[in-house]
Amino acid sequence: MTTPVVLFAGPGLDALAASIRENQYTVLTAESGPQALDLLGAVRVDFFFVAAGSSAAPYVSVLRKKSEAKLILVGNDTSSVPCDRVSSAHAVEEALALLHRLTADRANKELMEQAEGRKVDAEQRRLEWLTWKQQMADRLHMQYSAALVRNIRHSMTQGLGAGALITQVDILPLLPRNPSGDYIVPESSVTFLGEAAEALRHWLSSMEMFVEAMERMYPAETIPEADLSILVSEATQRVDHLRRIKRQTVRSALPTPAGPIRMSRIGLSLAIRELLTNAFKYSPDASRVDIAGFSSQGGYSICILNDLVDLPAGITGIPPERENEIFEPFRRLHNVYDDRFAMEEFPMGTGLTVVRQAIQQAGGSVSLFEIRDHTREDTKKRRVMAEILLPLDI
Amino acid sequence: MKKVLAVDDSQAMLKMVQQTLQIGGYEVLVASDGKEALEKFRGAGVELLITDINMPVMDGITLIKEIRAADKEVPILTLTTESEEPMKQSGFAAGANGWIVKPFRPAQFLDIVRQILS
Repeated sequence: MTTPVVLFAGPGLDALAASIRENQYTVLTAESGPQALDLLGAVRVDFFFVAAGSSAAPYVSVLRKKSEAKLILVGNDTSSVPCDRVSSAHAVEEALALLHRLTADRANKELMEQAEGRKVDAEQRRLEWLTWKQQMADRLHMQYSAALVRNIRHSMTQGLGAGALITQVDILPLLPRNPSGDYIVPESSVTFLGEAAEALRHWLSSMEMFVEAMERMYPAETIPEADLSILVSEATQRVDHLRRIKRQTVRSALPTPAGPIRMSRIGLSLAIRELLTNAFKYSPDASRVDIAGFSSQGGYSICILNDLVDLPAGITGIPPERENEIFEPFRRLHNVYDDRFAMEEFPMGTGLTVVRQAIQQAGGSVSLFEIRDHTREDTKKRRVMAEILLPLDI
Repeated sequence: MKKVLAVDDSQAMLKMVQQTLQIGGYEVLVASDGKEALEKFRGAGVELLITDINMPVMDGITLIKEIRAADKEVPILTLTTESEEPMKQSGFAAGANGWIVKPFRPAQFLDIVRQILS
């Protein structure tokens, strides 16, 4: 805060002005009302003293209009002007005490205003941040919705399904006719129409299953350590028809966990089936899929490893920056479609979304990433690893 | 009879493309990926190549580049679910002459093929 500036207006206040100046105030003096007005116009004054009944007194109302400085009347004043007062031009201590108090009040007021200003600024920044956050959320939501629709479109138009059905129906009018004008439809077309309709029906029912799977509860329960390998083995058997498509082999090596597991049996079985299905779909013919297990701090991990399908120019494996993307519904990292897996449990890129929902709800976690497998000479290569982390029941 | 090579990893799609082209009076060779297509293309007198983009072993963009390295003249059409501009641009940059998005309309598809081969 700067040194307060005090203006003394009118005769008889010189001694008081001198005393005030000695007490570290900046003091200005004016002999008359008009001179005081000039000074107020030129200098920022904080307080001004006017001798009551002096020639400057009639200028008080004008002086107050011209400046925000606080008025202090000196001497015997009987007016009703609302202001501070000092009893006489000799009351130096009284004047100093008043100035100190008013200066302190002014400083407090300034501090309050600054604090209020900072609060308003902070509120403003918070509001701007909230607005920005909402805009970002809206933008992400829109992008996500667009991506979702694009993914569904991709899924429905690939291979068997809606796209195939539409095209096959469109082919019918191009077929030759017999002399009576009826179309001659090859048996293969009729068979194909049936297959496409069946695939579409399966997709529609799978979408319903997806919604049900996302909405259902997967409560955690105690799974005795000896039951874990049985559960994994049963789940593996349930997708064996998908393993046979590419003649892959499954090698399972699950050591017994250190204690019982806390997980949903239904959720874990679903996760194993879906992760194995993915491993079968996205690994080469006749390759090997490994199921491994190991104890980690406070939990037990089940890992499913598979080799990569060779895609020279597309996305191969799982780039680290896209590890989360694969859990989005209807999302596939590449759009290579294999008709042979049309009847899988959760088609159209919905499986991993359900897996994450089921495992997380029961207190576990699931992740998919790419690794370099150095465990054996023939597998010293890029592989995809799905890991389900299960908490121990302690 | 003019010879067309159709490439798609989806057997369902391949059957429909083959059926449509046969209705149009073309001889159709089929392949399930780019590598197989490249082998069938060489020395077969193919007059039009129709290829999917997303395929295992060798994708469509790589196939187009490989074909263009050996044959600057043969027309190449893509038939794919990919409809986004960046993918189209990379297809045209590789040497594709046309871009058809699935599901295709067989009558229009035949019109395009006829125009290209006429």
